[in-house]
Amino acid sequence: MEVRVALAQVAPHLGEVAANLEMAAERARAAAAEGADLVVFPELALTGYLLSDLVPEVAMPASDPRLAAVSRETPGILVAIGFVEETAEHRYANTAALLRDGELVGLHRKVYQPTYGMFDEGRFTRPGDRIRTTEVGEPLGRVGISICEDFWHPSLPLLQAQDGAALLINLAAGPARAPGSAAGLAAIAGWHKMQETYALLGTVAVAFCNRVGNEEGLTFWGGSRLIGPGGGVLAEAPLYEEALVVGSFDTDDLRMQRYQLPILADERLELTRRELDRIIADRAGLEAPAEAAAEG
Amino acid sequence: MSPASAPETAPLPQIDAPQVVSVIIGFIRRQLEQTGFGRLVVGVSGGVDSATVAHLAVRALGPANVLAVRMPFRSSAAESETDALRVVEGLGCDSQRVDITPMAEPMLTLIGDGDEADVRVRRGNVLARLRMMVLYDRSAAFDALVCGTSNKTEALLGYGTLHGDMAAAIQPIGDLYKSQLRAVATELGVAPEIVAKPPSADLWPGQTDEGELGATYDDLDRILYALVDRRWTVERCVGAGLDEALVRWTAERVARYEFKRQTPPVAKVSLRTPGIDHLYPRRRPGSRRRA
Repeated sequence: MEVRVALAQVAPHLGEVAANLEMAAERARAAAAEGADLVVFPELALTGYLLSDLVPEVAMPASDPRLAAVSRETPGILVAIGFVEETAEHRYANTAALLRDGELVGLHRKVYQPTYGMFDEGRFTRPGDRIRTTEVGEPLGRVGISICEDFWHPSLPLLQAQDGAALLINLAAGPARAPGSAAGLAAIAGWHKMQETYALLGTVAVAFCNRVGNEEGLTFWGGSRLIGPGGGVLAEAPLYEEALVVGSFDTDDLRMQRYQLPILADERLELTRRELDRIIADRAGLEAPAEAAAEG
Repeated sequence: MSPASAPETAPLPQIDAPQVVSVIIGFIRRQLEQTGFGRLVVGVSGGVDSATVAHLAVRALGPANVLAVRMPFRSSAAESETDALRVVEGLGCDSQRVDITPMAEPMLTLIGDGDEADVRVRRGNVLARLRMMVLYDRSAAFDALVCGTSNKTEALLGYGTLHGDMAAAIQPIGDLYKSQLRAVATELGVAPEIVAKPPSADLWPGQTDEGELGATYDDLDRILYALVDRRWTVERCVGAGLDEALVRWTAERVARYEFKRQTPPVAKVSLRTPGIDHLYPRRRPGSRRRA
């Protein structure tokens, strides 16, 4: 069955939640008009990126009716969108919500928050501690959501593929470095390689939506892409400009891909876990687990 | 590295000029949108930096929203004024000429005599700061922000006047080395003679940046790109064929002028201190001057 994915490559307004909610609902309607089954927005699309101490001012609980309302006017369509979440314990997270028919269907809190170089995320929000997938019904079944830097840690997308995801959704806010130069192109090429590699190794489709626009001195590069299972580019948005691009993949192709290349099914998870336990113990300076030690 | 490989070289930083132009234009538009201003004031000297900024401002906002201000002093080179006028006429933006000589004279007489190099720098700083005053005054009259014209080479070397040419609301070319800036200027259509002429602050007759700094911008850019962008050690720079004395001089200068690139430190005594733990983006809801 065909799955149509819209990538809403927008430029959120920094700190202006009401304006961004309006923009998101409008883009979702436009995606629905294009026959999309799923519309993906960027990381922190409802708040903007360089928030610093604005975090508590723009945060909302995942149960906030304003959040759910983003999907209310587009019946049956899944909406993935980034916002700042405040939990009941007043813990703040960089979170992606998966919404449908005005309901929260799934949630992912950014696990890997870059706090180096031009990034300072760990200072203002706390990292998530769950890597899960969400059941969304036929034809997709399960999807795995991640946020930007999460993708630089291959354990995360590949765990989600093992957990049954047919589609990996990555919401991003990637700032450009040395635009157009060899270094800048290498950074974008790095993202392309990751998307194609995860699609290939996870035998999954990948929907990557990166924001555009400018905050302070940072310019976000866009270039959102839909990758089919196997690694082919099915849709691609331009660099630096707002766009709504729609592409589709067929779940039958994913089915045959997994027959031809049964690497997910062949993965030796017990072996992986045993070796991980050993490495974890080693890095922590602890005695190796008995089983691993016995096998030498 | 295998013994057969060629020795490492230290290249000039590269740039994709068309892409950088579109990034900077987006930056200017968004900065103005976020502040609630629609116009920019640019001091135009006739040099490549201010010509490039004026072109970028006009591309971003249109000629009607850019005011170019020419601010000659009595010793300014005649060629500077001709070039500045050529930039302004080519762009079709509004322009004003403010001769800073009568403002400068009383202040300059206060400086008096002394070590010649010292006096020169102090006189130069006075001219740079008077130009800042003119630009900020014009910006209020034109309902605009002051647009900076400092480049990355100057900023790293501390080759600028605090509260003078370094004072601005935004710095569109502040992350471009001089050599990259020339490529961007050419992409924008700045006249080749302006791109090619020796850069000068024109603070005294015959002054050139390269004469004053004691090195060419290309040599400095190779060194700065290696030291700053690629984080090379002095030894690695020297191994790649860069002049050791110049590399050490450059590294020392980058360190010495760190203070010029940062806001002054505040002595923390309260619970929450601006710049330390009161941290906000410059623009946020409510900070816009008007809707």
